[in-house]
Amino acid sequence: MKKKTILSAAALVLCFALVLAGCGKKGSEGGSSQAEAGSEQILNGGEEGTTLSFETVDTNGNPVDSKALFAQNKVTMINIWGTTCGPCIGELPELEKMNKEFNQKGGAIVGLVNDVWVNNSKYLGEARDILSDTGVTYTNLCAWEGCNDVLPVVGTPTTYFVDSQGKLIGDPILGADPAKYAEKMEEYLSQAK
Amino acid sequence: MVKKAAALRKFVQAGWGILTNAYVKGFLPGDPPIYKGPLKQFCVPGMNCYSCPGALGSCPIGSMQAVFDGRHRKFAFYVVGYLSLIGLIVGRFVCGWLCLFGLIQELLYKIPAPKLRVPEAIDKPLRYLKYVMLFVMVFALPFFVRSEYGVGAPFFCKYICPVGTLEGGIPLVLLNDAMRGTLGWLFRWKFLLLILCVLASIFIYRPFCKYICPLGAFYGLFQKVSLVRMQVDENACVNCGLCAKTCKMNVDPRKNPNSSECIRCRECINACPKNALSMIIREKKAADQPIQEGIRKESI
Repeated sequence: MKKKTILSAAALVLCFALVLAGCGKKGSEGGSSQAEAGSEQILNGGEEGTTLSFETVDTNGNPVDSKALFAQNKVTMINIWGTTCGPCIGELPELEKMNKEFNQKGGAIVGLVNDVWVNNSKYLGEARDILSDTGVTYTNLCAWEGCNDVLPVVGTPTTYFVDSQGKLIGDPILGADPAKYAEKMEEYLSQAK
Repeated sequence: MVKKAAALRKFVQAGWGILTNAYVKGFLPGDPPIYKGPLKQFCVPGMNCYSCPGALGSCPIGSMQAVFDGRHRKFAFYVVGYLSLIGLIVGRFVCGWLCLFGLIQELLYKIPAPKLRVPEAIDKPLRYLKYVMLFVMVFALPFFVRSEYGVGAPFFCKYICPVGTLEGGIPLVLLNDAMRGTLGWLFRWKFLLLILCVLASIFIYRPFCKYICPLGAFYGLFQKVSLVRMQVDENACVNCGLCAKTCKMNVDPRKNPNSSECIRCRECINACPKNALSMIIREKKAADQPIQEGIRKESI
């Protein structure tokens, strides 16, 4: 193969690669959309201090408003899971127990099923089966458009904590680690005003 | 000529490896590191971790396990069908030309060090280990083992695969703070396996491909019946044994040109002083007939 052929072939491969690199899922841009200066500023997704504000539906079909949801507790733990995620499902029974304990202290767990969407309930039945098999009674939310930007997830389960105004506290926890959740929940509850 | 042929193969291996892992965004800080767009629905033909930040396609072995280990036990017809089609057409050609991890092992082998030929008494039986990986770790365990809540696990990905550790585990841990918090005994185990694989690759040619790779095992099943195959011209062959000596997968092309261990690297073809070896595309009917009859010979 002549050098020229190799070089042009390599250039072609590089071009192709760059083009493909440009293709990506919409919303994977970690952009910051700054709202008007005021009480609700959405900064970069998932960061401490970001305020969440959304409307969605739970797995029983009930509409959910984030303000009303979070105002009920001093600290709410948002556990993001998926219907095909083994470790997520594995920890659900323990989370149900933990939720009851948290309730005594002003905390709560809320689930977010990241493959059950408000406008696409393909896996809703599966999610409901899993929740009933594992005995979970706490609220589980369906994913809404843009939730991956405000609550970014590298893998599931990912767990976030918010205060009563929906402001994110601390760093997300990646991986099924109920002991860590409990530890953080205690810490945040003691700091909560 | 021989050097050019070898360079061509490296070029294809490298080019394909880059092309299929060209999602540069995955490596940049701030963005979720794994591409989940439409291309991910397709499997690349070789071993390449889905979780590699750059990966544009899915791993066929990973995909299989993901289907097998679901709560509603399902057989991975689509993936197995796709791999079977590839196997029927080119057998283990993918191993030699389109597998990034194969390339990585070859590059490690280039590191100057004493090269070991594993004694036949160990080498031959150990080749069957990859079938254990395929049928037990990739199929049976994910398909049958379930936890109390109907949860399965991708046993090969989870407990064994060094490709995943190298391409997925390590980059993700380096790129993502949250990931670092999850490291435990399992990561240490997988990391150990990766180190062993890397070290072995310096002294032994493609040890993962020979002894562990379930995908190679799968494609190997088709070698005797694939369209693209190797042929020995008995009249030209003078039995000098140079082909067998050259072959780093320990195949003797004179005796077994379509061995399930051959990765179609063509080094034997290039080494043969009498041009007795060639890769051909064959017609269905010509199965076991002598060379002169019925085989449309289109040397590649």
